[in-house]
Amino acid sequence: MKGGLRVWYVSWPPLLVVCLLLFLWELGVTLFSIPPYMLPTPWQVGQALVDQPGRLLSATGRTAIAMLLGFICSAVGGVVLGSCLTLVPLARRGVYPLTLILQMVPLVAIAPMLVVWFGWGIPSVIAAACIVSIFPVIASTLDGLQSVDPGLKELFRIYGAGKMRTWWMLGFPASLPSIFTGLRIAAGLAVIGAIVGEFVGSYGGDHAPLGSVITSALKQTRTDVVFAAIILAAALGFALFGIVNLLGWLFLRRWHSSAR
Amino acid sequence: MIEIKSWIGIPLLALLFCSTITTTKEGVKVVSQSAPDVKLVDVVKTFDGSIEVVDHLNLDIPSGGYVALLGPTGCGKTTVLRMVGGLLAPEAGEIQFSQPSSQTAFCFQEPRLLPWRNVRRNVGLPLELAGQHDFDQAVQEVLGLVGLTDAAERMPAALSGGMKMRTSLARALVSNPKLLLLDEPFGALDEVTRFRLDEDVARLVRGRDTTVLMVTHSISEAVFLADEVVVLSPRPARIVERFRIDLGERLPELRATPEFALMTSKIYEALRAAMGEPA
Repeated sequence: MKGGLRVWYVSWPPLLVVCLLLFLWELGVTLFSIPPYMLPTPWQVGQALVDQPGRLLSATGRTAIAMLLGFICSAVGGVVLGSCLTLVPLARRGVYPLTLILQMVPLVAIAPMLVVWFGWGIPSVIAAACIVSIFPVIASTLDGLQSVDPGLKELFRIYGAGKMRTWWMLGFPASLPSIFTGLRIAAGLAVIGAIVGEFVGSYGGDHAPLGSVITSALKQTRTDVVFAAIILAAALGFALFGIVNLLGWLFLRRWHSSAR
Repeated sequence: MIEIKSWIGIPLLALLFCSTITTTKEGVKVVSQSAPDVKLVDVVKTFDGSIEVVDHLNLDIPSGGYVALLGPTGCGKTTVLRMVGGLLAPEAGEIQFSQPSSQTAFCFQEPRLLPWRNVRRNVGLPLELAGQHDFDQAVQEVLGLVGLTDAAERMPAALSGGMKMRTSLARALVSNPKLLLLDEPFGALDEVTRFRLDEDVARLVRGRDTTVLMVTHSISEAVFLADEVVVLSPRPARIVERFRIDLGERLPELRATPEFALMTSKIYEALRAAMGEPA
């Protein structure tokens, strides 16, 4: 199948379902005369999206930056931490159970503390995005490094390669498929982290990010704006996921079956 | 006399290898070192302290010689090879080298290639890990010898089983090893490919200044390649019989000669006796 035809082949069924759902939503709200502050119609949400494009776009931009920086921190930090835990067995036994805390403590509960530690605005949001998305990266790095083919490890030992070289030339590339799986999960989580961080620790007003747009719109019972912001936040998540997928494809397409 | 005969076919190849040696930086050191002779003295190895794998084994692999270990599955052949390669330590006894075996190369039953590196970079790996950076020429030459020049840029996933093993063999040869350890290297290949690779090994390794120890299940492979075939007993490995193979130059036609058939059947009988089967 040719490129354009294939894109159409893949995308028409979900598009049809989305159209159907939007239609039912619009119909339901109108039929049962649900007040707009409880549930706006898709049409109203669309109106809110185009009503103040500048404000929503700049809010999306701010959230995007915080999300992206938080994601980069968790990607780099997760790979480094996961690698260190593999290189030093005692550290793995001691520290890995503690990294579970990152996963188990609810982000909403520690978000106020992040504001205290990192300050209002973007630093605490980055920290929130990073904390909530780092665990899958650590876990997938560990998993990847531990499942390196023992035969290849032995080969490197025969050639007298040290720990760091073995990591760089064998462990890290061999773990990339697994790491990218973790990064895909982390991409979705980073958006959640950023929005929750913004609920708690961001400035409102003209420089408000999406999270603050949502909280202030709720106070004004502008649910159409809330929905518009939610759609944009979800789009951010999709975009980051797409970027990670593209990077994974670029790195793995020549040798790994997951990228073919 | 026959050994001299086997040398006649080699000088060109030997020259080729020498040119590789002198063009690389490490090479100068290589020339001064010659193939070690390896002595196993009363070597004992047990696993978990109770299962005896190797039982007071005495074996002498002369410098530049080619010794093949034959024996039933699980008899400890591979354990012997791994001890010689320094991957395992013997419990008792000693493995002596006439000189430090700094240039040991392994070739395993699986090709053990890095899937994210193409053939050229897989073959260059030992040199890269030894801190050498301009290894392109050495790699090109060895790829030419194993017939992979055209496949240099291909990824392992796009290679046939035979080509993967050739890549693995090229990687073992690229560092110009003085001690080459072959652990059933072509056991997973079909017979025709296996014969062709055996012929390549004969052409590339025999007569070179390299001591070779090979483990194999194939009697004909052992007879075709080695100067000496050592038949081992079932676990714990002890030497049952040793066969000196004086068959001259190892060309494909050799397999059709009566001498080859006679040697093969002699070793087959010895192997069967070792396994405790009635003749």
